[in-house]
Order: sequence, then C-alpha cells, then structure tokens
Amino acid sequence: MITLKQLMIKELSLAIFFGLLIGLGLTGTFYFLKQNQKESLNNNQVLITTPTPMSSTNKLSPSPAINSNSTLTITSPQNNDIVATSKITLKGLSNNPTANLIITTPNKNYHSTTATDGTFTQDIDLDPGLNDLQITLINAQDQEIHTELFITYSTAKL
Amino acid sequence: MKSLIFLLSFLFFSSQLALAQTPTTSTATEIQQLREVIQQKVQEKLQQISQNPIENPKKAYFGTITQFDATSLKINTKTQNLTFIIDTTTTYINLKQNKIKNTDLKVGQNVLVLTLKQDASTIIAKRIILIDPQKLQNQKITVIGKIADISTTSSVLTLIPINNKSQELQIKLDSKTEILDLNNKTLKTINLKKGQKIICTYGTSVNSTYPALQIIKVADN
Repeated sequence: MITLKQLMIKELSLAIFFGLLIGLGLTGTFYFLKQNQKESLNNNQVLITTPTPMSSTNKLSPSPAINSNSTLTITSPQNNDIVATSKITLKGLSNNPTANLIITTPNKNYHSTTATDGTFTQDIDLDPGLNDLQITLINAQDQEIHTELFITYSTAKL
Repeated sequence: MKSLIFLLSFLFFSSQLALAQTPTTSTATEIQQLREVIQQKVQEKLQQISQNPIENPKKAYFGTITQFDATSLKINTKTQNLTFIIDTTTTYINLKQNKIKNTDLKVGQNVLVLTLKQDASTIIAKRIILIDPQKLQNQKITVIGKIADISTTSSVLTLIPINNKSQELQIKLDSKTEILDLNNKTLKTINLKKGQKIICTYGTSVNSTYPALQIIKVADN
C-alpha cells in the first residue's frame, strides 16, 4: 500500500525532476540561440569584408611581376585588313598588365594602358587608303615591344 | 501537465537538431571560386580568339613589284614575297588616281594591292594602286628615356633612351607637341624637368634634332 506521504514524495520528486528539466531546457535553448546569433554575425562579417581584399589586391599591384618574355598580340583587326569604316577599334592582349601602350598613325598619336588582365582596346581614326600603325608597349620594367599593323580604309567594291 | 512537460522537452531537443543542420560552407569562398572560374573562361576565350581569328577575305598588301604579266603579279613586302592572280576585273590606278593599263606597270614600282581571297590558294588582285611610300609610311618612333638636359629657352631636350644608354637624342618641342601625364592630362613644357622619365614619340628629321610629337611623363626620376 502506498501511503499518502510516499505519494507526496513521489509527486515532489517528479516536480523537481521536471522543473530541472524545463529549466535546463530553457537555459540550453537560450544558450544555443545566442551562439547561433554570434555565428551568423561572424558569417555576415566575412561576406562584407570578402570583396575588400580582392579589390585591395588589384589596387596594390601597380608593379606586376617581372616578365622577361613580354608579348603583344593584336587580335582585331588583322594585319593587312581592308575595312570599310574610318574608325576602327583596335583590340589586343599582352602578358603585361597596366603597361603603357602608344599607337601612332601618320596623323595621330594615342596613349592608353593595358587592363589588369592584359587586354586593351583603342579607337583609331583612319585616313582613306593605307594606314601604317606603329604600336609600342612599354611595361613596368621599361621594356619596349614594337609592332606594325597595316590597315587599309577603302569602300571600293572588290 | 505531463503533456506540457513533454511538449517543452520536445521543443528543446528539436531546436538542437535544427541547429545541427545549419550549413557551414563559406559563401565568400564560393564567390571567390566563381570569380576564378569566370576569369579562367575569359582568358580561354581570349586565347581562342587570338589563335583562331575569323579571316577577312579582303586584304591589302603594300610592296614593290618584282615581276608581272597579264595573269600574275609578284610583289615584295617588308616581310614576305607574294604572288597574286590578275584577271580581266583587275583595275590599275596611277599616282594621280587615273586608271592605267597593265602594260603601264614597271618592276620596282611601289604598289598597294587590294585583294580578294576566293579560296585557300586563289588570291585575286582586284585593284593595283601606285603609291608614294614616303607619303604613307609611318616613320614615327616611340622610346622611353630620361631627360638628361632641358633648355627652357630653345625648347630642346636631351633624351637618353633607357634601352640604349649610349644614344643621346636631341628632341625639339614646339606648339604642336602634346605633353601628357599617365592619365592623359595635358601638361606644359615647364612641367618637364631634368631626370624625369618620359615616353617620347618623335618624327624624322634631316638634321640631328628630332621633332617631338608626343611626350608622356612617366615618373619624376
């Protein structure tokens, strides 16, 4: 036979046990929520700061690595091409980023620089007939690369 | 009461499970990887363009006639010897822009040959134009060097090319000389000083002083 006293002790024990369980549960939940909040804050900080080192790397590289085998390639137009417009866009690439590029025609001179990936574009005005373009690239180590391009501006029907 | 306790316990444990499933991969790393892939693709595309350009069938070649007859023309350019087919559609133009005949051509004449490529081995000379190379050739020279001396009174500077220090160029500046900084901002002659590194584009001259066409100030020393 279970006495009333025993029943009360049992009920009390159960109440203490579940009270502790709820208390611990709530404390645990609160702790984990706090931790999670901290973690997501850290993640957000990474997201915000990520582009900064990228852009700062680009800005902090005015002196690219020494390149003894400098290249200069004109991708468009091709040498000896006949074009039907008086203005062309000269496109090319080099393994020298941020190098100085001087393009001369008999009547004009152009100055630009290669992009960080080595590519470049320059609009050029052509005279009717043969145009002799002298292209000079000067890299950060003062190395010069010279190339010549002949472009003929003609609207004659061939 | 018991059901409330059960519910609270369930909520407690289920929240822990949910937290355990929170993704841990870094978004920043993924963005970086994506950037690298895009950069690589751009480089590949550029390489492809430079290696396999679409060939323009219309080409013009400048050179000196070495041989010709009624069916073919041979010229010598700066870099190669070329042979073109001549047919009844070929036209000939002299220095005065007048039409001439095939028989008016002479070996040694400078010509600009406008051609049309019909297939891999057939290049037809559609128009043969006699030209004066002196009027067409670009004789400008561009060098990087240091200003060894500059005269403010005569606007003449002495330039020592960095890649040929034994050379000493006398460069004459005039009102047509374009003086720029690296950002293409216009400068004045007084901004040029001894010891500065410049990129100088100059023209030809009969004497030892060359006309400066464009000067770009690169650095102060």
